[in-house]
Amino acid sequence: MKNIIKIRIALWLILFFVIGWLAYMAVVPGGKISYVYDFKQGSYFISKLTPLERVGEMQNGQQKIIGDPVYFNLRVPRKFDKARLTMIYKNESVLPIIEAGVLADKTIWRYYLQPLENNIINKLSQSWDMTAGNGTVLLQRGKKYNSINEFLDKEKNLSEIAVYNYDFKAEYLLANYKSAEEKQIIGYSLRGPYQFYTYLKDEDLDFNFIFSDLNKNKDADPINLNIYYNNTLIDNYNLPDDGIVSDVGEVGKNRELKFNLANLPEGAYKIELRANDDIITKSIATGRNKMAFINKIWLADSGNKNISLFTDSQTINAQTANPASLQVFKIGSQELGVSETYKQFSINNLDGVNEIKLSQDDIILSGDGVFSFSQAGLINPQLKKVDNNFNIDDSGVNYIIASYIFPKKVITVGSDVWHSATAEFDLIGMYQEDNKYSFIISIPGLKADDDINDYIEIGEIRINLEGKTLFEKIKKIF
Amino acid sequence: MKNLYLIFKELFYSLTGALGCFVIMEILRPGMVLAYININWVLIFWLIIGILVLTINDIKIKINN
Repeated sequence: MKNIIKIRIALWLILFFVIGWLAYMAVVPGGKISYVYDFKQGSYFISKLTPLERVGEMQNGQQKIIGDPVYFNLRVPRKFDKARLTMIYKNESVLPIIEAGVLADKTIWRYYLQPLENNIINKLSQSWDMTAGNGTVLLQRGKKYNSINEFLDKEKNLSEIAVYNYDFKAEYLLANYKSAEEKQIIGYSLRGPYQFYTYLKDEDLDFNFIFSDLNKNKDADPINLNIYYNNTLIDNYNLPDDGIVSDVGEVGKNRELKFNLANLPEGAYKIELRANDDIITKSIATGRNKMAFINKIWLADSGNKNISLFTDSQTINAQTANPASLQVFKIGSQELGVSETYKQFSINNLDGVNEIKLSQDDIILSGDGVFSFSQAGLINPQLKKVDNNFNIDDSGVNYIIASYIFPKKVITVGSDVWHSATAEFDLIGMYQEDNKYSFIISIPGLKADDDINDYIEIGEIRINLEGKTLFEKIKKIF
Repeated sequence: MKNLYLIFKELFYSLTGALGCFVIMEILRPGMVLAYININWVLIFWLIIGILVLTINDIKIKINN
């Protein structure tokens, strides 16, 4: 009988410790925890890479990524402030850029990207003069500056500077800027979110937007308009949903959003429209003559034909979901055919400013530069970027400044070289649904359907999370 | 036989308690248990132990008779 009581106590004690351990792992009282996906067995916390068309089979604890981008979710038991992602990978195809990101804004599907590997910088670091400190790297073609601070203080020739993942504070002023003589109206309908640059000098920042709502999805379709100067939000406007919060497909009434900001300093301003794909911008009227859409523009289906756009992008991607919009269109002297729906078609290595002549609207154009409806309207205050289109020989760049940590060599087995790269993310304000964060691994230029056998191979994804301790949380309550 | 019966009976009770606790914990905080323990296996183990308790009890009654 005594023995049975001992067994009983032992069994219930085991259960008590198991429950205690589970509670400890759920609460994470120390505020720090690490989750690993080793590609051998599934992880509850880190999901498999998707979509399946862009990844290879899982073999021997490795998986190939053959298309860009791929996604995975991180399930967290509680709130954390920071995530440090470490990836062990093999880049035999020497793909120029590998980045990882966390979803920041679901409305416009914006990921906060951080570098894992930049092979252009890696190569240049061996031949150019390199100064590094606090995660910042300065590369000089010929050594002129002894420190990063000296470079930031003295170098004013922006055409000689390229950046990567670095917010270079530079005053962007146009020497021969002339104000518009008359108001311009962009009458082409645009679908979904967009961002554009505009410029002003001794003028008001005046815009008048007309929106309508397609009401094709079930959610509410609010509109946020943000205005930035030097990457700082200076003003914002909101327009609530049109009242039809369903997917009836009934096009809502035209609604207006206008503003006029006076006494602003001369310079380039960024205007961002945050809205989902149900929102159509029917027209934009402004007194500014510079207006250039950043990286992407979606010309909505409104029956417009023979549309002309100008771009400084070196790579242009085109895609449509509308069979009536399949077309072959001109970009400068070259042609790009969009022959299938839901498939992206690209053209690379473009030079300077090119005119795009579309025969039909309802097409999404994206690229690494800006798009404008007139050549005079083009403005791109961004510095040259060390991305996969960067050509060091043609760029005239003598300095590269980057916020970048070089990957480390971890294992060398024969000719196989595995690297480990780390990216850090601030999770505060990032999008979270059902205790999950959405992550992206982006390898620009890597395509699953281009018949080129290029890929990167991943051996491990490790995420170290850091947040408030239980003691700090309790302290905050009292 | 009696000892074996008592041990399995204790194991069955504690597994019943474990299953109950795990289910309540999962309801309160989804993923708390499933992240580390597959409750299906606990349930199968609990069933096997339950069957063994009944079987041993049956054999015990037969021997006593």
